[in-house]
Amino acid sequence: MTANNQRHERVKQRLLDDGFSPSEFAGLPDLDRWDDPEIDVSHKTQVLMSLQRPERNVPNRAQFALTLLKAQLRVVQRGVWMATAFSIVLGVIATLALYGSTDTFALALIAPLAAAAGIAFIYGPDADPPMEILLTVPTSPRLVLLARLVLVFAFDLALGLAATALLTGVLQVALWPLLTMWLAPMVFLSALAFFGSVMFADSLAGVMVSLCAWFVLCAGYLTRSGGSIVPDFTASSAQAPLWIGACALCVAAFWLIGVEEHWVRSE
Amino acid sequence: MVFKSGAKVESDEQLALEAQRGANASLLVLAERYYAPIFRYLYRLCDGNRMLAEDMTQNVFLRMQRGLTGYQYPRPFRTWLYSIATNLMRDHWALRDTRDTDTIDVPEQAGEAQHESEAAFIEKEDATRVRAALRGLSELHRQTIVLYYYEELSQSDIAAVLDVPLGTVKSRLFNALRNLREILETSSP
Repeated sequence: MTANNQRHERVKQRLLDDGFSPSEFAGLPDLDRWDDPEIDVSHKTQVLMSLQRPERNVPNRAQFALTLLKAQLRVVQRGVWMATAFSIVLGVIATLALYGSTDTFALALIAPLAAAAGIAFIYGPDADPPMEILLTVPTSPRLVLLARLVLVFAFDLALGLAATALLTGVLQVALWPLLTMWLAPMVFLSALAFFGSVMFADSLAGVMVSLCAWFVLCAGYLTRSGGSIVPDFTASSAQAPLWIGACALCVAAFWLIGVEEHWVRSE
Repeated sequence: MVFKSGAKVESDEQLALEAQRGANASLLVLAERYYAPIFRYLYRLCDGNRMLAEDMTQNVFLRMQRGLTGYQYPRPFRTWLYSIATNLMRDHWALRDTRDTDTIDVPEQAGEAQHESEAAFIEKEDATRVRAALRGLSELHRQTIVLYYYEELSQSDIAAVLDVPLGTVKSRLFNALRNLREILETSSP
């Protein structure tokens, strides 16, 4: 029995299984007269060759995130790291010098501002090529900026935590109250600085906006407390607006970048 | 996984997933496996035009490579690939219909019969008659017959390839067989 005949028998059986009556496929035998075409081996080889490409390993999400963070580590200006570290060291020294004579915890005053200044410099003409060039790379500008934001803020946070831990040990005070004094303001001012630099496309504008906001907050608190110049954000009711505000500012900043991206693409 | 003769043979779907992750070797195995069936399928849809079928086959595999991210496991890879071929053929027909008549595809000639034996000549005549009968069917009926008869796909697989309900495949198959029978009866010598 030839291959075609075997196929014909199989098809007939399938038609019967599928509920067709033999009279309905009476004309079918003739279909076997059209043999399968011969395969041109050279064409097949040509097709397979056209599919050849170098092996590539598609990184998983964690690998991709790590690569992106590493790349952004090189992009962030060295001055940002140094200035933030210097400010935090200054805050530690000032706290050690002032603590005891006054109730002022200087680190809580300096850390949010230092972080905000650093964050302000992750976006702007000094840190990024023009949007037209950014859009030519496969990773979206928003993702690149998010990576940079995470990187710089993580650095600020790590320094702040290290400094607080050091002060806790030296001054023999509780860790949590010290932490809550600067954490929420740091997050808020950083978000404000980020928003400011995106809004005005200028890093210095971001610094100025956060500096003004911090000054207003401190001055307002000074007139109310009549002593300490560091606002007391240890109460959760005082922290909540700062966290919410920070989230809103970040969302707004990323939305603005998206608008700019859309605008440049449609040009 | 499929085990055959003691050796581990990866399923089409497994290979497709690997190819999605960038394994070119898996992609080539799939192309190697499906070159002949896809060429055969397109050859019959192209009414035996070998050159056109080869071009279309190449396009199917290039489109497969480009569109691999669109493949969703656990959909059978076979039906996914056949649907690419079918869509490509549909695009070709749509384009051909808008062109001038001088671009109409010319099937391979059964001729040069004068040097052949009588039996071979009759065989070719029969093949030509079958081709003509299939050509007489509508595109939808021809697709259904070729997939069912020559490619031996089940009705549910054909439904997946053509992206139509199973009931539609059943009625198309019924009508296609009836039309084919009528055409072959009228063309019988």
